[in-house]
Amino acid sequence: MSTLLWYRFRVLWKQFKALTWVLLITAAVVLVVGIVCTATNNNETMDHYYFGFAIGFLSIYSAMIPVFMLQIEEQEKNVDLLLILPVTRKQTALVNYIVTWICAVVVGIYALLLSIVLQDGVEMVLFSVGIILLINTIYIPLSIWLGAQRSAIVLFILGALICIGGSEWGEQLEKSLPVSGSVLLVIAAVLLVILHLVSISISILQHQKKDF
Amino acid sequence: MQYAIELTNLCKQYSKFQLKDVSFSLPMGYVMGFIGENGAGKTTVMKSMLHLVHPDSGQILLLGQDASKENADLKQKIGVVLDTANFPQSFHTSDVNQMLKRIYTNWDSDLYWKYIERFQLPEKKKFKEFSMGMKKKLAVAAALSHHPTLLILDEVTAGLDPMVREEILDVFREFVSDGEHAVLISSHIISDLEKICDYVTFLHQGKLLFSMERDTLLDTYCMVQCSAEAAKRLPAEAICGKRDTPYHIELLCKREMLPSSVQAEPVGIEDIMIFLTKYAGGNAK
Repeated sequence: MSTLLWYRFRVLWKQFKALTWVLLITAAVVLVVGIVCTATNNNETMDHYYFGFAIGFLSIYSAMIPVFMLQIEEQEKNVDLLLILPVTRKQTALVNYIVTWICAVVVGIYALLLSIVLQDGVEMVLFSVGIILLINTIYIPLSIWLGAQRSAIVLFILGALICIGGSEWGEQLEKSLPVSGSVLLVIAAVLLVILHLVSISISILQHQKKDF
Repeated sequence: MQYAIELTNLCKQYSKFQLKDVSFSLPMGYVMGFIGENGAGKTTVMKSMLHLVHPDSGQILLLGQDASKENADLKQKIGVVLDTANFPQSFHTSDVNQMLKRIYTNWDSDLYWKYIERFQLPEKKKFKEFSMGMKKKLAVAAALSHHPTLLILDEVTAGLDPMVREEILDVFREFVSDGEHAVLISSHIISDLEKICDYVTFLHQGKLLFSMERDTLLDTYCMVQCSAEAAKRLPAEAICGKRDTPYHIELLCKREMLPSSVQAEPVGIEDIMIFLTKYAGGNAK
């Protein structure tokens, strides 16, 4: 499994080295700006939407890492490479989720640092981790069924729909349910974990049955 | 006798293609050439052996072990070159070494670099800058460097110049020379297979036409060139294929069924393949 992980991240690093450096530097700059703003009580610059956007962008980019990974594999026609090696299909299916979890942990830690710096709540952390898990909960099993490219299109359409109507649906849901926003968040987190586990089971099963 | 490969009644149905009752065996210490036209099902058979494809029925034994179920330990002993199993375009030869030494328990980095040097592969170029021949050579180096017992090679000499093909065939000859290893190789370059193969298996439209020792195959069939009238006097059951030319008729015949008075010429594997498919007539077996 460690070899498969090494392989995944090695390919990503080689393909997106420059972009990754830009993102790391951007993330570091955002964090430093946040520290400076908090230290100087600069309320005008300390715009949470700015930091929310930064976290949102980093989360979405990190969520797309498995998507990029599987697309590269499909384009370069090396899907069969892992399957001829002495690894099981279960391992090759699971490694995509492990990449997702690593991305979620890294971005989650960053979001936590940022929320500490901004003296903010944990919503940013939950949002960043949640979006990474949600995107891949949907994408990974879909990619085994439809292929990486087509699944990315489906994901894009779903994402566009959520962006267009998401906040209004969220507000209406919050008003209609007799629970507070925080409880709703916890319920959503539990649902997401369950969906994620179901996604893993579906992916492993599909992967084991598929003809390559 | 120990067998490297034993296939029994392998069947696989696709919407427009069917692999039907494919059975053959490859003893240890030998090389088997796997031939057939494009779309005959050779890659499907190889993928079935490697568990990339689930056959509908049939038994697959590799090195005495059931290969129809997933078996990561068995794959430690098999070296594979497949057209659809390429290394990432961004990789260098060093990345391939780094990756495979973590995954194969018997990976031999020294041997890998010896092959890289022998095949004159550049160390600083990315895989995407390699020619097709260079990619094949790298795949062969990777397949050999973990000391496998069995090699399964799909179109491994395609795109290589004659000198390099000869060199790679030498490597495969060395590989089986101790009698403890075996090679299954598919190729459209029949002359390569004639140089190296001890056994030949011919697949046509998903069905096995024959699987036999190369020498027996070449002894079984012969070519007769004669006029149309002379052809009519030959026993019909001896004729397996017929081609009309402007000057005479060419007949692929079974040597043992021909009268001793008939003058017959030796025939190569490529002609056997062409006559049994394109110019078929009479029983192939």
